[in-house]
Amino acid sequence: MVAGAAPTADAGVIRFEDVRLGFGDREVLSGVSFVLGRGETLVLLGVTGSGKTLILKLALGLLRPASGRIFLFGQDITELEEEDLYALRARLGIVFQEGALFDSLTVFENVAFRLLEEREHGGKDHSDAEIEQRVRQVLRFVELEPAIDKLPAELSGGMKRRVGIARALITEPDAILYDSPTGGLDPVTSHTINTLIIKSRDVSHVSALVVTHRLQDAFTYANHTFDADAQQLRPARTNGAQATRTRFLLLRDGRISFDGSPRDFQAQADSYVQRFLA
Amino acid sequence: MQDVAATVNDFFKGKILAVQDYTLLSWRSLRNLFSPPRYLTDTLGQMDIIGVGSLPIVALAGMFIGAVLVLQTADQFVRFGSPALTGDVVAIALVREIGPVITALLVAGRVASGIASELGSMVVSEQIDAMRALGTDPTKKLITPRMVATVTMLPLLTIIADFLGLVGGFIVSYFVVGLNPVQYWVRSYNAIEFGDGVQGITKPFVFGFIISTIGCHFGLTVRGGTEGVGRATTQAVVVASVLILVVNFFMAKVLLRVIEVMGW
Repeated sequence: MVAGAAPTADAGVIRFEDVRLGFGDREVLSGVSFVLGRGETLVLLGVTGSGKTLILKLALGLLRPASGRIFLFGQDITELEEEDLYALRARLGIVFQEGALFDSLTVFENVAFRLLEEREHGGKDHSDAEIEQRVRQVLRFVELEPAIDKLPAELSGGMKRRVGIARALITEPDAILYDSPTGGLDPVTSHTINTLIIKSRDVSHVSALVVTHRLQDAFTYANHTFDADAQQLRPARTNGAQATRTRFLLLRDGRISFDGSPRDFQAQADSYVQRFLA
Repeated sequence: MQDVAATVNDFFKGKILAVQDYTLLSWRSLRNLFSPPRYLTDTLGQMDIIGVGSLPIVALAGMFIGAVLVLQTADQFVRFGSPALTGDVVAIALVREIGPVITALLVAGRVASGIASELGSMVVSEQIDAMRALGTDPTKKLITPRMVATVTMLPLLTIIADFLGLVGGFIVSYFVVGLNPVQYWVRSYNAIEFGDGVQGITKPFVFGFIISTIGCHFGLTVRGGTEGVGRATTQAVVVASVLILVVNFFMAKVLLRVIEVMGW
């Protein structure tokens, strides 16, 4: 398929085909291939510095691969111009590792950023009332409505991640990419963030690519569902990973060394995987 | 020996790549003027920060430079029996060279560093990536407004600096040296010709472009966290200042020829 060609019908959300990327003499990704299907949750595991974040940036077109091809919603974005990528990016949300909130804007302005840009420069007719209603709605979803007028500097690390999730959800994207969403957070806050990730999957039916090095988080996504009545996580009744449509990927030495179910992952005899599980 | 050759090779490659990046960024900042979206509110905000924000230091510096020029030159002219020429020299020096260059250097110190540190901080905290991921082109929202604001504000700041330089010169010439005030102003006014004005007002447009694009370039190419931001800030000021001085020489050469040919 040529760059920018028309999407194929069952192309999934993200497809990597033999993607390579390096800096200087060091090749970080040495032929990465995987597919994130619609409605799936893909947990990308790997040690620190293995190139997990690079995969997210490549998926968004923020970086270009040295070779290989990347497809977003079936469209080849490998050589797509930056201007042509914006329409596709609008269908994706991303939660950065440290939130990446605009520090000179309030929580409201951060969350509303995309809507305000669409109104001012994208020709969309969002009224002030509609924007405020949608911002409040997603802030309620992440339980942060009282912080609407605060600046990012006034928020804790966990609150920043939650605002990041709200910002990603505001335009109801087809998929969300999470970059180490619980990295550096305490267990209680991590549980809150994980609950929100599962909640957005089960309530909004959003596909997700979650980058993490925390195996316990990966199994939480695989084995739990969100109980909307009780507003909390419940263990999935039967075969959790199948019910939650969760797959694990293991990034090792620049390649995907495992792509399969959590159960298969646990059954791996490979010493590297065993050390990861330990 | 091979290591040295490789290091030299990498060094020059790095410099050439930096020039290429800077050229592309400058080109994009100009191209964005002709393609929507245009960020008028952001541009006005930057005009306030860059123009109004720089006004106090530019005014103060302009006034004291004019004052010290008179202090240094008037004595010499008095010795040669032509104190009236003080106004001529101060006016020409200020309008042609000192006003544009000193104003540009002051604004480079304040604005290039500010732009580099602001954009650099946004890079290291992934705000630039977030902006791109959210569908907004940072070159349109961040770079072009800063470029337009600096290019439009610097000529205005230069005019203010020139005028306040003459005022500073007048204060010293009248109260310290004891020159005739009417003579100072009349001679200053008459000394400045159209060509001097062309020189004095053309340069700030180019200097403004250099200051803003160099600040943006070093800010957006920050590597190495907060330490990198500090390094980029320093480099932005140094490179912008040196470029202003070098470009000033070549512009002076070209403009003098143009003025001569056009008979201004």
